Amino acid sequence: METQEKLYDLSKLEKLCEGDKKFMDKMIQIFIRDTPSQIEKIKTGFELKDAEMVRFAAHRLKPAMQNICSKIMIDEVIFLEKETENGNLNEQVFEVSKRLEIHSNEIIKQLLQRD
Amino acid sequence: MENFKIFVVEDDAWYGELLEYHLSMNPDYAVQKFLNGKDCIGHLTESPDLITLDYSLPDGNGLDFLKKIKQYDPDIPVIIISGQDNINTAVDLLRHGAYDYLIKDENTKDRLWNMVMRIKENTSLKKQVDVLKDELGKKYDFSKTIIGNSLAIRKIFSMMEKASQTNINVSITGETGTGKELVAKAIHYNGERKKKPFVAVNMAAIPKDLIESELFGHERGSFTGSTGRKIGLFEQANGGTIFLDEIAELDLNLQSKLLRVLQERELTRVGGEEKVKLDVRVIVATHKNLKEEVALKNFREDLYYRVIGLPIELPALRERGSDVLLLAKYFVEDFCKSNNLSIPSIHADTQEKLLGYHFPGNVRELKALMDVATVMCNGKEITADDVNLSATAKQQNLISEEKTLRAYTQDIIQHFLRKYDHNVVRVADKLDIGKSTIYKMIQNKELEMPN
Repeated sequence: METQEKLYDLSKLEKLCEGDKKFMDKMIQIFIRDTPSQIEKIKTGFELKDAEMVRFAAHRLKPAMQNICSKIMIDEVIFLEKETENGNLNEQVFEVSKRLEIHSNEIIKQLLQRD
Repeated sequence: MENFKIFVVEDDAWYGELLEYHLSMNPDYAVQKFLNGKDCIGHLTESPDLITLDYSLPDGNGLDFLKKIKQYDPDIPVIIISGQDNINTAVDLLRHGAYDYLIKDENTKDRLWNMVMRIKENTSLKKQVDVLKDELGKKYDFSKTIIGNSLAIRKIFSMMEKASQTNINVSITGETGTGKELVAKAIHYNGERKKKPFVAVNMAAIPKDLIESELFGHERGSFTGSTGRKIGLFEQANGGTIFLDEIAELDLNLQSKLLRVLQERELTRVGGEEKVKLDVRVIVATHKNLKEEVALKNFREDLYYRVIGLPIELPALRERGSDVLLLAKYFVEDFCKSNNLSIPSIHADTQEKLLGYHFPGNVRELKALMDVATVMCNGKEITADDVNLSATAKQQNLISEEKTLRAYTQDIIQHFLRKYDHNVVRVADKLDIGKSTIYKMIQNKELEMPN
């Protein structure tokens, strides 16, 4: 499943970087480098039924996603963090984690392709 | 000036980079990043000025590391930066000494920036205060506080050293001008409490009606004209030392109040109910003989035993032998340094004149005399004529009390014994009397000799 929708929104990051393009690129590179490992941790957390592992990975993803991703992805990561805080790893939470994984793969592609 | 050292503890590389970027915009800040709490704790010896600590770290939570940091140095400000807005967690962290709690959102950058500026200002002020306190401490170094080499003064040095090593109360007696406050300050600034306040209060200088409120403070409306709460001198000295000069002048009613405060180690402000815990070292001073004041019922016996602590009796200058010359030289040099003058010598006749004078105003009088003499001299030498002694003072002192001839004789010999370090042969020679006369008086306990 692939989406054509633009999943990133760099307006907040631009503001944070105060026009420093070089630093902005660096932040995007860190996001591209680190996001897959956190997504892997979320997957492992579901396999091990370890809600804390899922929560911690979502918590780690949140600050970068809040400044780089579109609202749909921010909502997903916040949902994951909130639900797993109470140990909830039900079907709905799992579905959201899968969507976040797909969106993360897609946003990385989009960011790599941007001018 | 050294950079303001900031440790950023953040395991999220993305957010850590962002924090470092923003903080490094100020060239005065040196930012060092740590990916976990343990590494940060291991580097505390580098004395960071500030730590920003992520609440959720892979090797523990923010509270655990906050406690460890505060245990190492309670003065390092720690800002917790967290992705969670849990009010209970925030309160708990603040209670354990966190400077503030920031949520990771779009305003974090500005709030952190302002917070760091505020902390830097406070740190800089605190460092200045510490430097000033250190300088003050050096100023009151024992060797600089009291100049002298006589046996009497060497004994005082040893007492001061003992007093500064403990928290024992100290009572200082001595004639006016012998340096009672200076000794009190030296004990404070050479002891453990040196970075805490030293509050000096002269009991004789405060009107009777105001003294209770001055010492213990008052609450708003406790009496006509009290428009707000006033923190008293005891509270101001909390953690440090209060120096109660002229303690014998305190009236009996207030003596009982003071006794209660000293016994309970707590006070209640005038017109208030709240009890304030006190940790204050008390040093008292008087020019009167407190024991005699007790006998005369002018001073409460129970308060006497509470304040007497380690008694230090400062000798009068006339009992310090050649210390007069050491001090005179010191005062001349000090005056010349602060007035950018070349230092004159002190003529032998002047030295003789100074040694023969009894200095009713003690060291304070000698300083005033030498300041004037330095101004009046030709710039090269201070002659006997430059030193203008009060001609009548000597006589007045000798016959100011009605005593028997035997008592006067005792006083005179005792005075000379102190002056010449209790060297009986020398005193006998100076007074042109037989040694056996002196030994007999010592045997009859008419004269005091050191052990």
